[in-house]
Amino acid sequence: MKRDDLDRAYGPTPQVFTDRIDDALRSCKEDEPVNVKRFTKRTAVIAVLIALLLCGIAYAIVATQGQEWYYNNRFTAYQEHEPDKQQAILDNLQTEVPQEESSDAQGLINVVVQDYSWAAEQNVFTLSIAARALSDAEYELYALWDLDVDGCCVSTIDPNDPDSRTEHWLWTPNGCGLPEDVMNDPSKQLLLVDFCNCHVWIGDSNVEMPGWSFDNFTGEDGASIWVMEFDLSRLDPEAIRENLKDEAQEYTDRGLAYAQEVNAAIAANTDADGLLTLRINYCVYPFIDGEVGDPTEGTLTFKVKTQ
Amino acid sequence: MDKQFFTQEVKQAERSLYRIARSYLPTDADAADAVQEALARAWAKRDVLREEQYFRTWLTRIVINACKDELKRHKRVRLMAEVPEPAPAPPAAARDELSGALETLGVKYRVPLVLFYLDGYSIGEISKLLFLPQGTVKNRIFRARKKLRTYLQQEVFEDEA
Repeated sequence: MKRDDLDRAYGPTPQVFTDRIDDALRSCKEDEPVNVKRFTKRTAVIAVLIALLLCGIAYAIVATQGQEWYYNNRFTAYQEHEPDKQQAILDNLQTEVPQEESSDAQGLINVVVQDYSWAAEQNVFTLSIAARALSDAEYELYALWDLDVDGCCVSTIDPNDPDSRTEHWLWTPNGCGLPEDVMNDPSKQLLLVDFCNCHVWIGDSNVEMPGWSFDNFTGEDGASIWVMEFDLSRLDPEAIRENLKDEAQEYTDRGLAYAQEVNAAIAANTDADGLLTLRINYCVYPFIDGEVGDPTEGTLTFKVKTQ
Repeated sequence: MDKQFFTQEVKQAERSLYRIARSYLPTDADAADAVQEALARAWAKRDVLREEQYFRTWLTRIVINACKDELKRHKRVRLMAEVPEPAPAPPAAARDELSGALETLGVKYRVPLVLFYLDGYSIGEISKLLFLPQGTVKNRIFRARKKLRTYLQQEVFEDEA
């Protein structure tokens, strides 16, 4: 088949189409004002000054892209629908977080807790974590969750699914496609970080905080940023009984047992200053020759004030 | 830009605009609506284009946007109507096997294929027109050819081999 065949497949250009183009051209008036706003010099100066001011404010926020930025820019549902919750999160936000410096076993990335908020009045605990490649010159880091976000990467192409493919696609701020096409610098080694289902463990125990939701995105400076939310109502027996009152008793019993376990672990891992020790594990995967390689692991330990 | 230039360029691009609009929209009437709207927008914003050598690309971008708006308008009308929309008219007698093959491709494969093979845009230019990474454009053209080859049981664009 040749190109002419492809053109012929569209059929001849129909007269109705040609007539409409001619109509459109006839209605174009030479003296019609151009629909482009003109600015006076004074307006331009004022616009520049405002832009500079906004850039200054934006930089201050974007520089960290912690929860202050997150709940006012990326996730505004609480602002719109649960303003008390949003206010409580921001009122209790702590940016000074006691933590042990954390890198994975191979020293590929650095991970820090940017901030946290223990907002007991709204039964919510939130935290944001930033992961950065230790060598920007060699590595480019994204979240493992950014790989194949459309679920279309399969081992065998499905003939009934036009979207199925065998190559991994990565989602970055540059778009979604083959990693080499959407990375900032495809000559760098691609790394993928995962916070292992976002389990946050209490102290050294196998008891975890009651996870509710998480989000991750790539920050302006290339960091992989994760925001996690935990539901503290699951630690409150009264709330548990109220929330599960229409369910079978076994659910309430299970909920109460979990709450008891978690509260005991919290008590055991809170020091004299009221700081609770928490820990989160993570993995770093290299992406080599079109495939996800074996991970190296790391652990992040940090403290939060719960009262 | 004066009207003479605008008219001359539009008429030269007429066939290309038809193919692009029909790659998006199901009927000739819809394609005509979208392109007429696109031309009105282009004329109104003609001073935005600083270099006339890029007129074709600039106009193609406006036509693509107008086609997408027309598609969205179709969806809204369909959702609001209580009576199901009548099926489009059967294809004209001139439609052949290749026309049928093109229709099975879907917009996301058809448009890059047409822009690349018939309108002569480079991968980079198509990537900017469609706001897609270049790799995605290449991938979609590759898949479009593969689908056509499977459907037609023949090599597609033998002159490219």
